[in-house]
Amino acid sequence: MTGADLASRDRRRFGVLCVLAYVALAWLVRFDLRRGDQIASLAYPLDTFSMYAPNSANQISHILVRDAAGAVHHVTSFERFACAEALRGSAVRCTERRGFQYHYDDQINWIEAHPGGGATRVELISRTWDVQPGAAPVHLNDCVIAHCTVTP
Amino acid sequence: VSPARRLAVLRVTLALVAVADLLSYYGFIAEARADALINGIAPSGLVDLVSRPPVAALLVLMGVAALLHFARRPGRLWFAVIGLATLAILGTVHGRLYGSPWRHLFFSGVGLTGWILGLAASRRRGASEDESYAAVGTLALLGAAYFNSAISKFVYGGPGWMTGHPIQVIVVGQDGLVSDGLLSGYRTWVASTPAVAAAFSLATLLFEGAGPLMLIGPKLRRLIAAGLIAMHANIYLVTDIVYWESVVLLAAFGLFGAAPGARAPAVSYRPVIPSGGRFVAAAVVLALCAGLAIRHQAQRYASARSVVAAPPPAAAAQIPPTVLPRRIGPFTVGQTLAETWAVESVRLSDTGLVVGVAGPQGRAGFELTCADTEHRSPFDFDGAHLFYSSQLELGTLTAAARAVRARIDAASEGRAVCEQLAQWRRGAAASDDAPPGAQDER
Repeated sequence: MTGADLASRDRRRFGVLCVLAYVALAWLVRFDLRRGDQIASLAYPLDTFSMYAPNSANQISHILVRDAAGAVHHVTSFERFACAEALRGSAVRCTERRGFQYHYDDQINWIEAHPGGGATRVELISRTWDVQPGAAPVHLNDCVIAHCTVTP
Repeated sequence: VSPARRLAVLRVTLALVAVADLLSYYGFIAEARADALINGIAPSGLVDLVSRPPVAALLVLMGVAALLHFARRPGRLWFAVIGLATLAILGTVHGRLYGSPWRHLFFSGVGLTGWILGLAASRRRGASEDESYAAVGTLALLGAAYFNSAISKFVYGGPGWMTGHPIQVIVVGQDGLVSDGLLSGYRTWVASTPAVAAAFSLATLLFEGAGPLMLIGPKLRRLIAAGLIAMHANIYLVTDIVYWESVVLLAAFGLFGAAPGARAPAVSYRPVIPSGGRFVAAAVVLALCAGLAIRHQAQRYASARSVVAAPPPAAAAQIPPTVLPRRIGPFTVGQTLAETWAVESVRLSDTGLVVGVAGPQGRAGFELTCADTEHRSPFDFDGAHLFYSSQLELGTLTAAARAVRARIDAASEGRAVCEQLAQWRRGAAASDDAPPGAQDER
């Protein structure tokens, strides 16, 4: 066996042991954090990268802006918001229909970072779909979180 | 490109990705700290200290300086360790503040760890500036990270993950199916076509699961890296989720590659792993540990799911009343609430009391609990939550919710609701110990 072959084999063995050690350590301990159970390993950079791994519920919601004509838009399509109802705290409506919590938080952060309102009256809604395995999503209902005025 | 130059390109790329992550942590931590404070979550101890802007800035500067030193010359193991340590501290603090780790920021740490292990192996061989093991270490850990991702889809998702259903749900949840252009058309097509989502699921599992095979040879390495890069590109198109760090590292270590060449003759080459027997023994032990660890987490998850899968309040209302108590605290089955609603069932949950109600428009469940949770309800008491669960609009439920709330309020007679709830739970648990017929006779 040449030196190159020997080195190549040794490096590959080293790599295999690195893979196995990382997998073992990453799965050894999984902590719960505020946004979920079993979502953190022993220490950075160990992780099982299990985001989006759990099977999803059949219903999912997404926060959208609905205009007077009934058309929906992304929250980030608007630059200024003034909403009549609370968007944080215990008085917030539709709390059971938030979809991905981090997504909801991002949208509320966007709204709060773009104050001012405007001439267009809209509703901030949580739209819910029913997504059954093997079928296309079906729009179930909209829950109005707040009434707002916006500027596109 | 010479092997040494290739390795230098990989080292610099890895260092720059880590520097970019370190710099971004500064802003992310400030944002997560502000959000935590707004939501009434006060950081404590190390998290509080490190998340203060001057301390975070100092750590970022330390890490950046160390990584730039690491990038300039081969074999600078301790500078890489300092860079990794600062990433680890900031990553941990950010995860605690935000309530979840941000995985795209883990890939630079994964890469650096592999590089450090490789440099340590080279030092053991007496060749401290040889970075060929470092490049293999980084590639190996990148592959391991994707392998973990594939395994977790089986552990947490099961065979159902292959149907494409989770991908459909993720696309709907991330995008909202708003029709405003070509991209949204593509997203709607993926979410609405189960066969396409299933094909993406299978391709994801195939390429992620094959991650460690990048170690086998250049052709397979490039094929798997290209597949994973294509997967990330598609994820970006359908969900806007960007994993640029891993894409850059896959392009560098997977597509470009190290192509190390050993110059030493066979007789003088000193391997890191001295014999085939030791390698097999170590691999078997590590594989066994990995298998046990994965099994343990799968069992934990299954056990937690079986608790969560207990009937929700609305479903509980459909269970024959003979197996449920007829009265807990101020609620009795058959009792009228707000004129048009009636109590259908009462039962204890893991942490509270569940009241199932039915009215002309449908059913709903209300859970009174003092569990420590970030969730809130519009009907909460001071220190206690009154959560609702129903397919009905909140407006339709409001009268029933207020009636349930008022009954709890009245029955508490000025005492703390949590104290009163504990007493009701003790009473109900005691009556559970009585013979089955005793409950029905009450």
